[in-house]
Amino acid sequence: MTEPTFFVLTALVGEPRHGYGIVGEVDELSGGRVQLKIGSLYGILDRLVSEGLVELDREEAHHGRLRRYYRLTNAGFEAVQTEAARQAANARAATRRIKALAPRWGGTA
Amino acid sequence: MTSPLERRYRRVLRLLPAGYRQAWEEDMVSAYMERAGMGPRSLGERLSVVALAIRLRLAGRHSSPRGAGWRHAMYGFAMLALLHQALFLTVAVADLAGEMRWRPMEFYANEGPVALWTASVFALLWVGAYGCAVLGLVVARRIVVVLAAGSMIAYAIVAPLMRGWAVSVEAMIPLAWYALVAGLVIMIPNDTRPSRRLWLGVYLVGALVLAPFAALHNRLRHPGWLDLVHPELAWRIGLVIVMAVVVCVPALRRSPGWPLGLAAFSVLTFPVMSLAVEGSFGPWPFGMVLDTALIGLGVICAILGLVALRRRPGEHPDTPAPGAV
Repeated sequence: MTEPTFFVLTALVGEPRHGYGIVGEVDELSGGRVQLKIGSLYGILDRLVSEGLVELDREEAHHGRLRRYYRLTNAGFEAVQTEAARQAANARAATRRIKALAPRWGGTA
Repeated sequence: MTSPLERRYRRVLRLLPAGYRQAWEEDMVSAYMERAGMGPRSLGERLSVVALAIRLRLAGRHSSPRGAGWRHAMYGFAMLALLHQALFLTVAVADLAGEMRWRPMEFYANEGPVALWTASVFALLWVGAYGCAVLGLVVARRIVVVLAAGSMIAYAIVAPLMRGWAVSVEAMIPLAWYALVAGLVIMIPNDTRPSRRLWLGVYLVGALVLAPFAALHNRLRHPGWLDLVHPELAWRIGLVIVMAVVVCVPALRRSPGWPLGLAAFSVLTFPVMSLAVEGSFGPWPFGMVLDTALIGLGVICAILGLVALRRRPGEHPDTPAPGAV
């Protein structure tokens, strides 16, 4: 799972969001590191919808335009949960190794 | 009434497959206009649409059956061109090795060791790229084909300059061919699974038949005779056989894109390679006749392929918006 995809799924964990709302939430979650372009976002959404991880929640009129809100499916929630656990396990393994060997690199344990 | 900004963005969105636009265009325009209202517009937004269009079209998502046929044509051309390069350079190495063995004076007088060394490197790269494509090694295929084409292009430009020769316009045409082949091989869809037995078998049979002939030709040729056993002629005959095998395999024949790929390959390859090898379009009668026949075969295949493609639906399958029934 790529980082942008992971953050799109994470952005939808709390509540359904529309496209621009997802862009803003991803920017906030990643601390500004992941700045999604609209083309990239909708490529990700298209794939997530086809994989059954995301679905349409509702449509609303907003300033004369149709706004679609998307939500996670149960499969989407499991997917992001699994990926988060995987990344956390990787980070713990790396942190243990770094702490143990930090003095070799001139750092402190 | 739409604003100029929205009109410009919708123009860019036309690059996307029709099926994808039907599902997502209004949503994308809505999000884009909201974002544009929050700050300066960036070229990156439009470039992201271009990148998305390329990814979608290469992956074949949301494409029509006719679009899938064109993808097959591109794939067919790329694989045939890779096979051609792999076999051609294998034969070239065998020819040079035969010259070294049976005509050493001529070999060393014409900088044979350098030619043999460079041909061997190029052969390894193109055969490697071909092997990666057949075995489905996506990343390796892309890297090796760039190395193969790049090294041949660089050599073709640098070698004459180092000797103080001018680089002619005709010499540039084969370089464009190498770049075209590399570009198409890079774009072969990731989920492509060629028949390993067929493609590896075709290369092995071609190499085992043509390479010994190319090597032994150096022993057989007699000055003054009509050069019927020139390796270039045998090479072309060998390729006709290879293409006939490929086209006649029933599984491949089911796709209407393959005739077009074959047509593009034959129409482009032989004049280009004639220029590359001989410096002109086939100086001797048999070579010219065979080149003409192969181009004619290409034209016939192109007509067959176009007729078959026109019968396929050109409209995308009805792609509903997400959540629509």
